[in-house]
Order: sequence, then C-alpha cells, then structure tokens
Amino acid sequence: MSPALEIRGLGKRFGTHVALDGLDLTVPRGEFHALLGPNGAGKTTTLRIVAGLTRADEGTVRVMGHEIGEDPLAAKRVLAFLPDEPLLYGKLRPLEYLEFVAGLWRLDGRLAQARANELLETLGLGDKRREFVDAFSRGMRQKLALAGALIHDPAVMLLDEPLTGLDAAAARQVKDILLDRVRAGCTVILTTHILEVAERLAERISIVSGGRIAAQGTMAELRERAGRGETLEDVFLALTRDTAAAS
Amino acid sequence: MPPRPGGPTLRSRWRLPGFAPGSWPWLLAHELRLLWRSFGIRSRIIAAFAVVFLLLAHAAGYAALQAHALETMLARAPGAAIGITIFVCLLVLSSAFGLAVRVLLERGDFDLLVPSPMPMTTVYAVRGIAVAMASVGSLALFLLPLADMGPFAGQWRKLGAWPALGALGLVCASIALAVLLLLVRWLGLRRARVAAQVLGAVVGVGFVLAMQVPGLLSATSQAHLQAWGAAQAGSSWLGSGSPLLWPFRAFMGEGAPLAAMVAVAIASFVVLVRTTHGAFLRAAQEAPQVPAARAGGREVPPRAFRSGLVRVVMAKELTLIARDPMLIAKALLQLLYLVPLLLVTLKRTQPLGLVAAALVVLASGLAGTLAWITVSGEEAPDLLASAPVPLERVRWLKVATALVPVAVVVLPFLGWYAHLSFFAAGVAAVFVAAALASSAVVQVWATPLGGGRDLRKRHRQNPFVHIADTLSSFGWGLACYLAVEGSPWLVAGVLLGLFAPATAWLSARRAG
Repeated sequence: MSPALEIRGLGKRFGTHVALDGLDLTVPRGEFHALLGPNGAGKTTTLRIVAGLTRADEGTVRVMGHEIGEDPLAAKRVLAFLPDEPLLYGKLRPLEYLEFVAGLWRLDGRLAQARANELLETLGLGDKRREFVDAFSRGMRQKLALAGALIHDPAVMLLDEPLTGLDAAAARQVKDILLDRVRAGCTVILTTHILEVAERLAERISIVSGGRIAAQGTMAELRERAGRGETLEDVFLALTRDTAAAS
Repeated sequence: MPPRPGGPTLRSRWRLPGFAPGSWPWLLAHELRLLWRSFGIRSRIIAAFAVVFLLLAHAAGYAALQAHALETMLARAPGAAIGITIFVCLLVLSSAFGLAVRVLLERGDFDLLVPSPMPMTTVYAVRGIAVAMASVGSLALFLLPLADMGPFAGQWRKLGAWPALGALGLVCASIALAVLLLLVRWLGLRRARVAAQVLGAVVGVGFVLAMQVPGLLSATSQAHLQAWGAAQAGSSWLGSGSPLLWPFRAFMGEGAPLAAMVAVAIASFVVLVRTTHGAFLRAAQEAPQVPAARAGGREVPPRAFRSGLVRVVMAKELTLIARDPMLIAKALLQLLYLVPLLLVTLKRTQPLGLVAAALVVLASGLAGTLAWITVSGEEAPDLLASAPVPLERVRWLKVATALVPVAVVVLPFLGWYAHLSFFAAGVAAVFVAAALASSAVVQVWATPLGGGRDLRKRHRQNPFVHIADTLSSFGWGLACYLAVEGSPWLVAGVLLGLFAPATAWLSARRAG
C-alpha cells in the first residue's frame, strides 16, 4: 500500500534563494506528522507544493499514490489544505461558504448540507450562521476554514500553523478534532511553531532546516539522536544548530 | 544607542522635505505623498510624457494669451464662459468627493493617528488641504501653463490663477468634507461611502446631463427656451457682469473677484474645520472598527445545498456581486457616464447606428468591470487551486457568471431598440455578444486570479491589456455603427475589436 505522502528530491528556488534543497519525506497512512523548523526552513513551501499551489523545480510528490505532476486532480480529491491565514469570502455566510467548498469537491448537496451543519455545531459556529464571514474574528475564520477542509472527508490533511490565533479552548477543540480524524484513518501533516503541540500530538516529527529534512523520528528517537536535552525545544535547537553549522 | 554614522539610511524616491516631524507641513507632505502614490503614477515613461505634455501645454498657453482668447470669450460669449465655469467647478467638486472618501473612510490609518500626540484638528485640516490640492490637480495641468506664460506675454495678472486655483480647491474640499460627514452621521460609515461616491459622480456628470435636456424637448419648448435665453442675455445673471463669472475673472487675475474668492475659500475652510472637527474625530474613531457588512440579524431561510460545480460557482459569484455595494455603485456609475451619450443619440437628427454603438460600448465596459472583479477579486485563490477541479474551467465559469447581470441590463435596451428598427437591434445584439465574448477571453487569459478587488487598480495590473480592452470596446462599437449604416469599413472596427483578445492571448503565452 502506498504511503499517504511520498516526497523525493523536492527542490524549489525563489530567485537566488534556495527554499527546498532535495527534500525527502515519507508519511505513512493514518499518521499524525509534524513538520518543525525555523522561519524560512521550507515547511510552508513544501505544503504548498503538495497542495498544488506552488510548482516544484525538481523532485516528485505522491499523495496516496497519485503523482501530483501527472494526475493533480486525483491527488487533490483526497487532500485538504489549510493555509496559515485562510482567505475566506467576506460576503458569504458560513453555510454558503461550505456549500461552495463542497461543490468544488463535487459532493452531493444533501450530504454536504448535513456535514456542514454538523461541522458548524462541532466547531461552535452554529449560532453564527446568519453572519457574514467579514464579521468573524480570526479564530472563527480559522475554524470555518477548518470546517471547509473537513467537509469532503479528506484522506490527507495539510495544515499550516492551524492553531495560530486561536484561544486556548478553541485550540483544544481543534486538536481534539484532528486526533479524531487520525483515529478514523486520516493522515494529518501540520507545521507548527508551538513545539508543545508537536510533542503532544504528533506520532512522528520531521525537523526541516535549510530546505531539507534535518532529522526525523518519534520524540524518543529524536531525543536519542540529539544526544542531549529533555524537551523537544532542546532537541530542536540542538538539531537545527547542528544543521546550520554543517551547511 | 545613537545612530551609527554611515549606517543604513531611508532611501525613497520622494523623501519628505525637511519639515519638523510632527508639524502640519510635514503631515501635509506625507498626505500628498500618499495621495500621489494612490494614483499609481510611478513609471518614468509616464513622467517623461507628463514633462512633454507640460511643455506643449505651456506653448499652447502662450499662443492663447497672445490671441487674448479668454478676454474674447468673456466679452463675446458670456453664456459659454458661465457654462465652462460651472462645468469646471462641478468637476473639481466631484473629484473632491472621491478624494474625501479616500482620505476619510478608506485610508485605514486612524489606528495610528488617533492614539498619536498629533492634534486631530491638525490632522483634519491637513487632510482638507490635501484634498483641496489634489482635487484641482487635473485642472492645474491645463490652467497653470496659461498662468505661467502670463509674464512672458506681458500679462502678469494671469499669475492670479495660482491662488484662484487653490481657493477653488479649498471651497470644493470644504463642501465635500462637510457633506461626507453629514452623510456619515445620517447613514453610517459604510453607506456614507457609497452615497458620497455616487453623489460625486452625479455632480460630475450632472451638468453634462442637464445640458442635454434642451435637445430632448419638443420644438415648441425649445423655441420658448431660446426666447427666454435671449431675453436674459443682458440680465445681471447671464450677462458679462454676472456674479457667476467671478471665478472665471479670478482665474484671469482680476483683483476684486480674486480677493473675494480667496477670502470665501479661507473663511469656508476655517468654518468647516472649527465646526466639524468633532464629527471628523468621531468618524476617525469609528472607521477602523466599522464591521464590514453584517447580516443585520436577518433570519436566513433554510435552503437546500446546490450540487454540481457549475451551479455552486455561479451562485457564489452572483451572491458576491449582489453583496458588493461598492461594485454595484461603480458599475452603475459606468452606466451613468454613458447616459449623456445615449441622450445625444436619442435626438431624432442622430443616426440609429449611434444608439447601437453606444449600447455596445456600454455593455462591453460593464462586462469588463464585472468579469475583472470576479477573476481578480477572487478572495480564496488557494482554495480554488487546491480543489480537484480544472482551474481554467472555474475561470470560465466565473467570467460567464459576470456576464449574466450585463445581459439583464442590456436586453431591455435591445427590446426597445427592436421596436425602432429590428435590423439595427439584430446587428446590435450580434456586436454586444462579440464585445462580451471579447471581455470574457481577456479576463480568462490575462487577469491573475486573486490579484485584488480594488477597481481603481484595474488598469495597473496589466496596463497594456487594459488599454487594449478599452480600444476593443470602442472597436466593437464602431463596427456596430458601421454595420447598421451598411458600410464595408466595419471590418476595421472588427479588427480593432479583436485587438484586446489578441493582446491577452499573447500576454498569456508570454506568461506561460
């Protein structure tokens, strides 16, 4: 069975800046995977390439066995991407937004409506149905975008800093939803700067530095590899410092 | 730590002059810089054109002064001079409305200014002066060359046009700001913005519209009107001594009118700032917090979700167009600007082909605006790009949806036109369809998805395609006119009409 995500030799340049330098990554199906790394390490670029938003200069990406360069629509059908600052339609109401997203993934109207209502209730947006998205707070927008990402029941979810701007209760709620999705067999890959989130949620962690995977493994494996420190923060700083020194 | 000598310095094409930071001239320089940049005129080529234009304008101004053109007009045709004076004043007032909306409601910098130690009265006054200066900017391009050449033609008094121009700007800025603040008080911030922009456009085009009314009257009414005009020619209001001509005389440098105009301008501005700075402060405090369009507590009736890409994309685009009051206002204004043209063509002396051509140009312009906003104004391009649908198909659907409101506007006109001439209406329908198709392919091929929703910036995203689109619009209109008249030269119009699609196609090919 093909892995949920398989990236080989991914390269991307923006002018003279090398964003990705032969990045390799394999994420098995049903795994909660965290991508960590300093600013500009290449995490967001990686996710955007996988989601089909940015074209890679070199390398291959397979999502559930579908090569995104050869069959992008098949890959997108099983994917959901949540950017760090989701752009929503300010003049649509939540249900109208979800109806549109469901239409893009060609969901049946009745099924989509039932899911949309359920998601709004689950995410605490049930009483906001009458309002335009323009009037939503940052956290509410993030939750609505998450509902949009979940409505077509994706097999692979890519989330770029999904907890940014959420209060403690909302962040907890989102974390619980993501864990539920993983338990249901979905693969979740997220980037985060909150190391505690990666430490507590992710089964495996990849540390991206200088456009490559500097280290990968479970928390215990990373700790062992770093050879020092107790917390993920210690391990992260040690590994990224080593990579920076090596390059 | 003191700044390091030789360290990084602020490099800018337009540095603020050396006024004391925090002083009102410093703030005025800042305001003018922002207004200048909001027009997007940065290209050196455009600047070079402006220099050439100013040189030519000064040469033309010198020739006009030698011929005593203004004095001749004042003596021989005071009615025309009054008409020009009113027209110019209304155009400046119209411009002031647009600028007032921009600096008061759209700039979005009050979060910075209100908590700063700068007195808000100073901020208000400086913004008013900036509006005044910017609103006469276009007029200055044509008028000041005349004034500048005055001393060379032995007419030093013509330099009086400089203070007269400033005074006109100040009066118009005072009126625009006062009306805008009143609208804010009556309608709230969001509605006031749309209302002020519509009002500004109506003021700008109103005089032209009014001038068309006599032509639509019956022959008897026209005769009555002419007789009344002849009787009034020697009166104090329409004769050469009319007070309505004082601005004209002030621009010519006549002492008393100039002094009166400057005095009225300063007095009106001082009164405005003193009486409405409180309202300005309230608007400034409210502006950053104004909620963008809430549903207003209205209960939304439950409705079944639609299925299928075509239906959801079209429904979403039409919903967003219908909920964008700024877009609707601007689209209606485009129609408004074409009304004088339609009125002219309604005169029985005009050939029917002109009406058809006007309709084609109108439909093309409206289609271009709406199609552009649906493609460029896409708020979630990442969502579309990551969805399992061909992006090209979504683009076509978006643009096709934008043409629906255009068809709704144009079809009644075509019906009325068919009542006059079935053949001409048929030809108009064909060329309206061609113009809409032209606008559609231009947006699909040459407009970036999610490039921005600000209509003012439309011409900046791809200026060559925008110019080609405008030319094509007139090309289809010309072709329509020539087709109705039965001229074989309609081929030239068709070729001009195809200019924009060809440019867009080349642009898309070059972009890969």
